[in-house]
Amino acid sequence: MRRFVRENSLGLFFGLLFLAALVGQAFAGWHQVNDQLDAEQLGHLTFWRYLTSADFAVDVAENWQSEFLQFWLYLMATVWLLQRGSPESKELDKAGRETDEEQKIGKYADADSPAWAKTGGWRTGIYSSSLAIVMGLIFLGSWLVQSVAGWAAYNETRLQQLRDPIGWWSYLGHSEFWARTLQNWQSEFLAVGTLAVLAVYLRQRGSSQSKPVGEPHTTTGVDG
Amino acid sequence: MVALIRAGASGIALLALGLSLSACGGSQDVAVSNVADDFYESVDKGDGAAACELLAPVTRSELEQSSGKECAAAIVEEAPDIREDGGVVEVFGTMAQVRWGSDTVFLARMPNGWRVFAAGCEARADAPYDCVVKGA
Repeated sequence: MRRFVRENSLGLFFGLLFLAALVGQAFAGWHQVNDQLDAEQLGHLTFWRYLTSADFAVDVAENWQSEFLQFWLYLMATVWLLQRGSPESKELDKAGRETDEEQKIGKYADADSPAWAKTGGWRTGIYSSSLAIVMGLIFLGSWLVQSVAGWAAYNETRLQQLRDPIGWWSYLGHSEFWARTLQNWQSEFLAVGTLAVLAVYLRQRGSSQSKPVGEPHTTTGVDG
Repeated sequence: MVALIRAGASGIALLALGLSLSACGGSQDVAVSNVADDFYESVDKGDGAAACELLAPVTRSELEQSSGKECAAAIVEEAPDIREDGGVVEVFGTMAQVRWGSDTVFLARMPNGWRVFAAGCEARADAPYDCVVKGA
């Protein structure tokens, strides 16, 4: 058990942080919505009703979509784009999808390679992009949820303001949808770009995301 | 890979939740429509007390304040007497709207059910509805 925890501590740590933050968000959001309803003298929501509300769903989904977009883009961009001196980048002569030999697929697979890496054909094709496919699908699903829940939450506000609701298609072109979307995207792009560039010159001893402390700034594609 | 599949399952659960939110409105349409019909029926019959029971508290106090009368008397005088069937119902979360040809009513979901938030509302171009009775 202790060994399992130690060997999976990264996933477990972030899983628990995620759950704690989600519960905290739920309680804080519930009080926030009830505070707004107080101002409008429109009664209170129960906690369960808030959990199943469009307000909660859109607040969760808009952050999910941007995080999964960030990692999907990072996965895809780091196939072809480089950053000299960064441990986040591949070595400068390795841009692209690389050879089958370098990727250990088909006849170049090791004995303990994943089964779909060995078989070749469409299975290996799908498995070769499986991480990006799953991340991309979660991004698209979360963005779709954001659009539906955001549309419902926005229309609820419009009705409180004695205005007609708008259709989902109209909401997709509305400033409210794009303000929610882009405010998340800009922060994700800034954070990931900053990490890639700062890691050229700065170090975190022992981290897999940093070069070794004594590694020269010019070394590219070396993790600590 | 297992972690990714779990993450995928979480995403699908969230997707289902989000999509179900839009479907939730359908189950509320009848309740909203019934309250709007009961409200106008009470006004039509001159039963101000029954109509006032169906007003949101904020609307009721606003009406009494603006008219200087008890709600039961004020509502019969001020709310329009409209008897049309087949209003178009829209429900989003705690708010709803019923639109007839000549009148629109807005409702809010209170702890004791749907209540009329604004009534006798007329659409205005690029502006909120102009309502005879409203909550704020």
